[in-house]
Amino acid sequence: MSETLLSVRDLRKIYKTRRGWPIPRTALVRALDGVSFDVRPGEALGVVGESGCGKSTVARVALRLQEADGGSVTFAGADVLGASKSELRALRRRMQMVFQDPASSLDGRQRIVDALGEPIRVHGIAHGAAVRPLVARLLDEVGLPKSALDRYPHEFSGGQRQRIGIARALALGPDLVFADEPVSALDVSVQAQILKLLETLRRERHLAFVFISHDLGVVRYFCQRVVVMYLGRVVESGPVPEIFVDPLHPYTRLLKASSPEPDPVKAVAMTFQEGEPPSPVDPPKGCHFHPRCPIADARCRTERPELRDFAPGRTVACHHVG
Amino acid sequence: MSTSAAEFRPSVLKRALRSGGLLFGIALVVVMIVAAIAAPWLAPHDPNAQDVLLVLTPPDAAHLFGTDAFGRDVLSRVLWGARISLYVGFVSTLAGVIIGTAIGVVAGYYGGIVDRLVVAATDVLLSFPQLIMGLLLVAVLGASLGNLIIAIAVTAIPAFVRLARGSTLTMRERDFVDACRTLGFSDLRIMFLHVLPNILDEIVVMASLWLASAIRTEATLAFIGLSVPPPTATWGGIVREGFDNLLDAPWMSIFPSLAILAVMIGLNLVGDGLRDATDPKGAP
Repeated sequence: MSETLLSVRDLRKIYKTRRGWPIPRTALVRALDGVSFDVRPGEALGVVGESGCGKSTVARVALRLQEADGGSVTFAGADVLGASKSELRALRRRMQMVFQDPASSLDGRQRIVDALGEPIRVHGIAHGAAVRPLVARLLDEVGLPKSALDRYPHEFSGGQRQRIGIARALALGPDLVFADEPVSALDVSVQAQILKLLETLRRERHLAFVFISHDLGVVRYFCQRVVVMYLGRVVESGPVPEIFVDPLHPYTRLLKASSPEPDPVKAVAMTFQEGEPPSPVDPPKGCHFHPRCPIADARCRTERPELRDFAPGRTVACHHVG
Repeated sequence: MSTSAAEFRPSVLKRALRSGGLLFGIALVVVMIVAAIAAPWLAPHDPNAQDVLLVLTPPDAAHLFGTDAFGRDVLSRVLWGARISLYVGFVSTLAGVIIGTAIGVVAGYYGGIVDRLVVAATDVLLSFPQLIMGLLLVAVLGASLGNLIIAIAVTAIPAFVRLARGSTLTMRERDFVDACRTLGFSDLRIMFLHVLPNILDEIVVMASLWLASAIRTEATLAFIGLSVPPPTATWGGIVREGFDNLLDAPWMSIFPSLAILAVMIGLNLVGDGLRDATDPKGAP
């Protein structure tokens, strides 16, 4: 229980934008403003929030697709952000990613056997004729027939392509998979199949997931713990289902209210101000959420609430809780 | 779904075969290339053999294209000239495409300061008209076959740098490049085994159009005397030689000009046809 696979501490990522003419002004976008969380082996951690809150950036920075501007990422005791090229190569075998748009995440010029076989060959897991059966086994694991081997990505449906994307992430035998909105681009009926597949993989391979999504229903089904993000900060974290049954942070309550349970007896309470999240270019002072928060007071407008332990396994960043 | 390369790939060949212009263009270019390669066997006379008795003969059965001011057979000279003109065009375009594409893909993939320097350099080079640029280089390097090829290749490089860089930037936005990086592939592998095959369509289309322009540049340089020195025949050179007697013996300039025209038309039809066949939105 106490062992940790991935540990993200105080992660920061700042984008600079230059706008204006004739004198451009540099604006800083704090996509990640001190994000911390842990993932345990075999656990699915949900990262939820509205678009633009930085949830995808977490995965990209932790996988070194983009360089961080501060903080640390530790994977199984190894420092990810400071890893050398060869160390990083070794880490890549254990940390993989599934992308949102399966059409864009596959190279249209590669047959499936080549697309899935390439990482196997590059990492020296197998060579020559030994690659093909390995790829066939991967396809079988994600529920695709052998006949898929010699076909091109455009010959598959969206759901099948996402299965191929998942198989590719599994090719190197990882311990952790970042799944960035893996089902958001799919039909609802296909979503359920893909989620079931991911759940099976999680149990059989003892695979940990960082599951990034804006869909609370999906997260509730798939994840054991959830981190809620708002404008680059973690506002609440805790186990499922407690965090949904009894949300502490007003923003989590807003999310819950916007994703009502399909129960005709329960009335949907919409007591919150609607609206978009403020621009991350110029976030509100104090608590980022105060312009939309029904219980905000003077303190919220000036002082940033720190993430505090509320109960075992539950943390929240709000002045009014606890 | 997105209009990615994958979506239209299988129909490219089908669409290409339906395009009459493309097939005609290919036929025209192939005929020219075959004629150039087979010149030693096709040419009825030695292209450099002079005959004072046959000076400025109009086209007849013995000399289908007539003879020039030295009594040389114009048909033979046009056939032999095709070898130089097409050779220079192909080699210089190929060199320009390979060097330009490599630079463009690297610049587009890495971005940053390398990219900005490359873009600035190509902007400077592109601000010279192609012909002036070629003229300048040949004048500095000296007129020889090798220098001619270098000069024309250099004029082609910036155009392909720009095209390859732009296409690479678009490809870089696609998730599969990130997927490759996550899988631990080297940058070289991603650039040349994953990005390059996906932008090759556009490169090939533009290469066929630039081939026409390279052949035209060579002809123009030859016309103003900045090509392979005489008596070696090149199309532009033959047109130039015929210019002195244009009114008395127009066949000397007309036939090599027609050869240039035919190749230009052929290559442009090929380029346009390929572009239509590979463009998912321009489906006929």
